[in-house]
Amino acid sequence: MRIVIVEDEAVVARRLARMVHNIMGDQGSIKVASSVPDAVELIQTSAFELLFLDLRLHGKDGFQLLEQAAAAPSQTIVVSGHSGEALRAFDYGVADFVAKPWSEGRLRLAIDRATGGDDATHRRAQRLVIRKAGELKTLEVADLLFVRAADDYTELHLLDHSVHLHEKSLAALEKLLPARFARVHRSFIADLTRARALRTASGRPFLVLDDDRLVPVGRSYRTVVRRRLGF
Amino acid sequence: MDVDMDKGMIASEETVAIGSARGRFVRRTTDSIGRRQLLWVLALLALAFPLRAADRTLVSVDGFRMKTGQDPRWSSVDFDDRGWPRVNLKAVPATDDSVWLRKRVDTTALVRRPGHPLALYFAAIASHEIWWDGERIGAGGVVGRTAGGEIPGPIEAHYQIPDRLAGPGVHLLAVRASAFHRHFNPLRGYWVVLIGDYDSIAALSTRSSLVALMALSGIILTGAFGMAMFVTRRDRTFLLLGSLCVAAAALLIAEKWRPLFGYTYDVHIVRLLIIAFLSWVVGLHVVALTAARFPMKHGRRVVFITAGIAAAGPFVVPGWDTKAVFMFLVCFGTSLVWAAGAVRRKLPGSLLAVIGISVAVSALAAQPLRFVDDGVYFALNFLFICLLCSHALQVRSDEEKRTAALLKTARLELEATKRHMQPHFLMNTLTALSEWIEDDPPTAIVMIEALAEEMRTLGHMSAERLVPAEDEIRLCRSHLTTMSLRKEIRYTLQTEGVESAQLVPPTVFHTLVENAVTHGPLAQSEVLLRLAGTRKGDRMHYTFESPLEEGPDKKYDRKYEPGDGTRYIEARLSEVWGDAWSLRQAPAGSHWQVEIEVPA
Repeated sequence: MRIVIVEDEAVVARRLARMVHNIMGDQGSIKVASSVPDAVELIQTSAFELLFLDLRLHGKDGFQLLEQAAAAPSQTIVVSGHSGEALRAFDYGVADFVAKPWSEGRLRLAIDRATGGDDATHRRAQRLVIRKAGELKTLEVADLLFVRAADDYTELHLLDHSVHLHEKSLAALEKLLPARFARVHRSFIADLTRARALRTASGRPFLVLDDDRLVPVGRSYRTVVRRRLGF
Repeated sequence: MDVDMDKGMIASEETVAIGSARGRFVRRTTDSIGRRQLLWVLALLALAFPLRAADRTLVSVDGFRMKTGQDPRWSSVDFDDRGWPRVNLKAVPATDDSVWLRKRVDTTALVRRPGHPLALYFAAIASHEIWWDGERIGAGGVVGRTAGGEIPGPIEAHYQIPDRLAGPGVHLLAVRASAFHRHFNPLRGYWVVLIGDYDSIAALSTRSSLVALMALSGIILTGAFGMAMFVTRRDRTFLLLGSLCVAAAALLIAEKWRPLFGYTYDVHIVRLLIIAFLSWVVGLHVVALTAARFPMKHGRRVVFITAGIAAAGPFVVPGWDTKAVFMFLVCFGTSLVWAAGAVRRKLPGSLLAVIGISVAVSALAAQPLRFVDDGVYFALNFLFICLLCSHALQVRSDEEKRTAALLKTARLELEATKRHMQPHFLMNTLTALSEWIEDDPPTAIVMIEALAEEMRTLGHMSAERLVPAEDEIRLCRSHLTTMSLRKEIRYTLQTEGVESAQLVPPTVFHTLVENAVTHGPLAQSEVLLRLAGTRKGDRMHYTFESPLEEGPDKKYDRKYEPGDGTRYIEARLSEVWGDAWSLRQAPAGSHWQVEIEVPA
């Protein structure tokens, strides 16, 4: 797993790298960025799966970096001394928020949550950041109806019928989106609070959402969906 | 003012002149007298106090015939004085011998209360003997034909006329007088002769002083208050208020000395000089007080110029009263202009001062001579009321400012402490400390000690307004030790010309150092910060230099907006020095330069 650490405090970065290495062993390769421009460049150009992000670099608010990270395919763990910033970080769909100073156990839990070893993720994203024509654009999760997998990307289908590409995988989004979003198909996540009915057409089950929009329900997901909807 | 007393009183007594061919109502004023002044007064008084001719309880006598020399027959009723020249009592010529003045007085028109004796009031800069219908009814001093033979008489006196000689009709009034002790008093003597019932004549002195004496209590109280305030507050304005009251009280007493206590006529000139001097002092105090109360540019110069003009006036202006009028006009006028300037600048309390001074100026313009006699004391009292009200307003506004300043100080103290409890500093330090504890315990101990030192110093300093520069620099150095161990960059603070005992507001340099570390380069293993102090006269000039972050993002970091740190420093500087400091900062080459200038 390729890992990036964004941290301007040398000793703190060293400690983080050492612990991540302890936890992940040789499966991880670690890069460290210590300034905002370095970090932006690293996030935009290199391929990695996990980002450790300090929200305050050089006395500056790091939410610019957080947006960059939120739009990236990777999972983000915020490591910060300001626990007050946790709520806002979760809004942007970070996998976990680790307060400084941390223990190795706490760091291990965060890595597990981000990489799928732990299901009890926070699932609290309130907005999703997408990259469109090189610009970052923020979408409200409240406007999201369902998500469809498209190769390495995902398509975000909104209430207003617009469709946006997101760089995160369906599995990654599933970890971030609130619990009302459920996997209903190998390639679909839908907002169950907007489901009106479960129908069968040509022998294949469909979920009828607001505006009569249809989302296929996978055979293996049918029982779970039915139970959650109470149909 | 002089033979001064009671201009006001006489006017209200509705004096009429008998015997004066012009039948004009006469006002006793000084020995001086500008005709213009008299007309002016007449015109104003005519407006203010319409004569009621029917009520003549006092009459002024003028139009005597005069002859130099001495002859016993000149006191007798039968003597024919028609060959003698007439003189005006306002301009009795000087002679080198004693003189006789004779006048036939008709008392028919005089209104007398039944049972009251008739009396004569005599005021002159001369020793005198009074004869009524050939009978000597009294004398002031001893009249002589030479200086040696004369004993100066009182400046004013009143004599009862025996009832048997007091019936209505024509009587002969003869006065023998000599004035060898008038010194350099103007040659023209100024005499006043009044006839009326005894009680009215006897009450003249008290009446003429009563009004002014009422104002005395206000002056004394204000003076005591001013002095007390000066002693407790060391505010020059109050000292001026106090000494103004002392001068005004002295002037009042000098003015009223004559009606209250009397003196021989040879002392008269001394009193006039004292009065002129005190009028000048009082007027100047009003100017100085106004200038001190509303400090503006050139205040001292204005006071000096006014002092000069007011002092020159008496040498040019004739007449003792006119001299005082001139000085008051110059001084109150200047004060009014000054206070009006203060109003334009919106200085607190200035409007009240303008009202107070306007009243004085209006009274002075309306009745200059009454102003000099009594008006000035009331005008001062009114001005004091205005100034004290304006002071009360000022006190309230000062209290509010002080409270705000105290709150600000408390906020600054809290902020200094809070910035070290803030998560970014504390949590990063603790995280780095955890790492050192695991990795290299001796380094961890060094870091803990530096941190403890920083916290301790900060704790006892943050509540101070000023601390010695050496304490502040020690604080900066412990901070840099902590930061060096956090960032693995060796930070050094080099100082030059910073006097260790020089007082500086706490945590100002510390904030500069913090900013330098936060925004400084990360890629170097050593960072040098410089603090240089230079004394320029009574100012200290500090220059702080720190390297800027290098690399492709230079622009990003050079965009300068004053942050929390700068605002905190500005607040600390204002707390101690108000506006008397300056702070400039800008990039200088590869460095960030901060320049602070403060009073030494």
